[in-house]
Amino acid sequence: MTSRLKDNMILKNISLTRGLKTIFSSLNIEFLCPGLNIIKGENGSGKTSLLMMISTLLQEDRGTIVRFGKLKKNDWLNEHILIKQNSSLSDELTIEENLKIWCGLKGWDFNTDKIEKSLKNFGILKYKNFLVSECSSGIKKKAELSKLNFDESFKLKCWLLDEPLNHLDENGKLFLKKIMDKFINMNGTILQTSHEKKINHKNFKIIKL
Amino acid sequence: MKINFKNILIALIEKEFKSYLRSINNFMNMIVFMIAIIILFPLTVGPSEEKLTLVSNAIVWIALIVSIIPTLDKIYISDFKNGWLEQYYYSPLLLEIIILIKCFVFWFFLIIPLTIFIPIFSILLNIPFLIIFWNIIIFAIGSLGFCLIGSICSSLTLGTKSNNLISPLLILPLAIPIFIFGNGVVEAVKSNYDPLPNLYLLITVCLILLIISPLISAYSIKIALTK
Repeated sequence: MTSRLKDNMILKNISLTRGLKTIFSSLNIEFLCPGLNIIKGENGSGKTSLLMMISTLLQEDRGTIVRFGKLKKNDWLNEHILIKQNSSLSDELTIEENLKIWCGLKGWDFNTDKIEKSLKNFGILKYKNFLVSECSSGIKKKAELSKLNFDESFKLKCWLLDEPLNHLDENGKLFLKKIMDKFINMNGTILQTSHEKKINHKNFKIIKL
Repeated sequence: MKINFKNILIALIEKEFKSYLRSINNFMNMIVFMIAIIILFPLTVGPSEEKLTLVSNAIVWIALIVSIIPTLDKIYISDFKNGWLEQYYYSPLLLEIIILIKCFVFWFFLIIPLTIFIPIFSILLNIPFLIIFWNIIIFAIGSLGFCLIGSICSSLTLGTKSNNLISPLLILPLAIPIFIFGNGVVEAVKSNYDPLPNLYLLITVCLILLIISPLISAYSIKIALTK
């Protein structure tokens, strides 16, 4: 655990272009590890691109990203979760099936009790047998965030959350805060993009793009 | 953290199976299309038995291929839109292996059931029993090749806005070896030659595709995801 505390996440002199548009040039950030990092910026300032780049979905043009010491790419893929703004649930499957298969794909154990418990905490247990195409965006968002509420998720190093508060009701926001606090207490690092002015967490760092 | 690879395999097969089961209308579309071709062909050629015997085998093959091609370029598109391809990318299992499993599941659940219809259509067109037998074998092997070619083309056209036109153009030239060797087997049987050399060549083509296809598909999916 002590070695994990020493680990950190740093962006050094990063530049990124998508198509013809330059998104960052010489970007330097040191993230708070463990802790909550809130990335703020105007629309189109590159918040989502930053998360995608850290998650290796986008390749930086120049510079280096230090991900918890020198973690290999494959280890890093198994050590973080990226929850994107748009839902990544299959419309043809029910919410329960989506989560079950997602756990399976990660190589984690998948049993019905585990998924039901996670859905119950978010208050959407009654929708578990609904096809995703039949659900509202709030329920989809809660189902998506239920991925963070598995025991295995708390053992990871990092969560990358792209505007997780969108479409959420008050109860959803409260529960999300609860699990985020739990994760940080377990030495986890969270990178969250947000437009919210009021931040209820105690220990956080704001990064402006 | 302990990663259970057996779970990954089960999850992957379960997902594909359930998705195909819930979009059964795709499969029904294929069958209706095939029946339409089989019925319309004799009507346009004319009722003469001689003419029909000459082209009957070709009709069955054309009906099968033409009905498969529109589904081939849709192997990845729904997963791409839903964000599942990204989840595959994050999975501890290699993307190439995931693609290979996906192709096998597609072949097993969507294409293999079509072979049931070959004897039915062949009887309708008065094709001899021996040829029907060989047709089923060639189709079962050749269609795996088609799926692997479809995987390449489907992944290459992921980023494009309208992939309807490009995919058939990409699939057809790549599928020519399968047509040639598949037809070679049937011609050999018809003229009482040994059909095995052509069958071996057909299997060789499929084995080569089995190696190349996942590599190319995985590479182009990664490009599409990171665009």
